[in-house]
Amino acid sequence: MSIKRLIGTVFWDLRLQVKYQILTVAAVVTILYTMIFKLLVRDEFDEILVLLIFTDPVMLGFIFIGALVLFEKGSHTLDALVVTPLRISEYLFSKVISLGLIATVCALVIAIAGHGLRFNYFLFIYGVFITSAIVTLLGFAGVSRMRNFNQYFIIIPQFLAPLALPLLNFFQLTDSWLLYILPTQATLNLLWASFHPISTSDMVYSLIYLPVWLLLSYNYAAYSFRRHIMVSSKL
Amino acid sequence: MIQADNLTFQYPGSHVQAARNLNFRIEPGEIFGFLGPSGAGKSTTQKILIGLLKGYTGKISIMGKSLEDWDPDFYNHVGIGFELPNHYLKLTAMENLRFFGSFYSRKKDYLGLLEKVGLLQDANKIVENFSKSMKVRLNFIRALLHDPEILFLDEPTTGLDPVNSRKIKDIILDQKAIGKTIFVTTHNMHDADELCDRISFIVDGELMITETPKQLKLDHGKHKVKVEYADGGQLIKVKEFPLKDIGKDQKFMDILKTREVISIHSQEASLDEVFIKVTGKNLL
Ligand SMILES: Nc1ncnc2c1ncn2[C@@H]1O[C@H](COP(=O)(O)OP(=O)(O)OP(=O)(O)O)[C@@H](O)[C@H]1O
Ligand SMILES: [Mg+2]
Repeated sequence: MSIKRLIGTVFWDLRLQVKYQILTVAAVVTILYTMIFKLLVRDEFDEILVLLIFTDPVMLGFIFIGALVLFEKGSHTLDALVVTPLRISEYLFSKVISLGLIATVCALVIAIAGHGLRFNYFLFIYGVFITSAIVTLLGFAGVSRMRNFNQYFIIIPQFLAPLALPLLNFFQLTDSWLLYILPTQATLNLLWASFHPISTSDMVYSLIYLPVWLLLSYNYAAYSFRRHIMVSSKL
Repeated sequence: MIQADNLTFQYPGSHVQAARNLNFRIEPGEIFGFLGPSGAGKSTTQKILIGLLKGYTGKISIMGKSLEDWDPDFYNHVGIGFELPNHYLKLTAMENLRFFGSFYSRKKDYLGLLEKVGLLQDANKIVENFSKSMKVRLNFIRALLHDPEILFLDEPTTGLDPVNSRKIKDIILDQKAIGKTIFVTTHNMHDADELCDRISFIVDGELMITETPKQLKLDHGKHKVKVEYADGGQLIKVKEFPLKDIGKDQKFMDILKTREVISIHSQEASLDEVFIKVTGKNLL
């Protein structure tokens, strides 16, 4: 992997995201969320704040990566990228970093607007960025086998529903350890922990478990790239 | 420079082999052409050679190294022109070049390349609004961006008017002159004839013959002489004679001596005649 090439690609990815209006959508949604929170929620109500921040990187990241890859498929630029010195790892990292940056900035804006400047930035950014990365990579794996938006929209719920399940624990509708298998349980823990203290065991679990999922998602995305973006003979 | 031995490929979900037991060898500094009708397997072969299609059988060696042993650094040495233009439509021509250029460390001359194909004035226009010909030309110069040793060009002149087609062919010949090795596919026999040192005829995934264009025409074409003459009065007649031993051809000599000859043309065989003769198929 070449760091120089990676930085260059992140720059170009951000530029493309501006051209494809992805930055605009992210900004509009962020303003909307901030306004919803400001208008509807009077008292300090951090559960709702966490819910909004949680849906922002998760939901939007999934749609953004889908759109970006389908645009690339549509104009056949992926074929052109595959035959440059660009590595699959650099391609994926670049998507993760550029979309992660957008997700983190949006989440920070919502958090600061809703909660003020006093919260744990490290835990917050750790949670948001890694979650966004996982979603981007899983989204890439999903979209790599799709041809168009219609097909992609059909699979979005299949990916998102399981990721949203830990919200049941978060809103104390359930108290299931099973949901701790899902990475988003760790995300919700960390988001909450950046505003209010949580137990040490929850903290250790969250800090360790999220990167484990990041690694798994990365490998799955890289596998999908080789399997679905490149054509292989049946011989 | 490039060698393929018993190269065979079948697309997933297809029940015919798109490339069947291909054997060829391309020497350094040579322009080597694949000439064949639509669906013959030209693009498929190019995509295999550039590592885009995996899972072929047989052996491919490029620059002395098996294709399977190459890492992505391979692409520092080869430039690829795709059959269908593939650009980032929301970026300008210049941005597209700079984006793809950012993957290579060699120094690039974007403006010089744009100028060569007549796109300098359009450098800062969004590619989405480009005409087909403009996209094709932009695609072509992208292959030259990093000054690669080997060029793979899939139908480089398709969709171009004669003037632009001329420009592209001149650049290809310039590249050969500075020592580049070039693989080119086409179903245009004039291009093949003009550009290629050697040509392979490909039909239904199989190579029928590999030769220099000149030798092909010598071996398989009939050279003829076409005579137009006035046969008394107003009547103009046209007759064809084989060029071989024409001086001993009594009928031909009679015409020369006794009739009023209007024109005599010697006719070279064209590559598409040769193609039909060798493969039994039409080029189009
Ligand atoms: N992705 C694919 N999946 C299945 N079959 C394919 C695929 N691409 C091409 N083929 C088939 O493989 C054969 C060779 O196609 P190829 O594109 O290599 O031909 P070509 O010689 O480049 O033709 P053209 O002059 O039209 O570009 C054709 O029968 C085509 O239908
Ligand atoms: Mg083709």
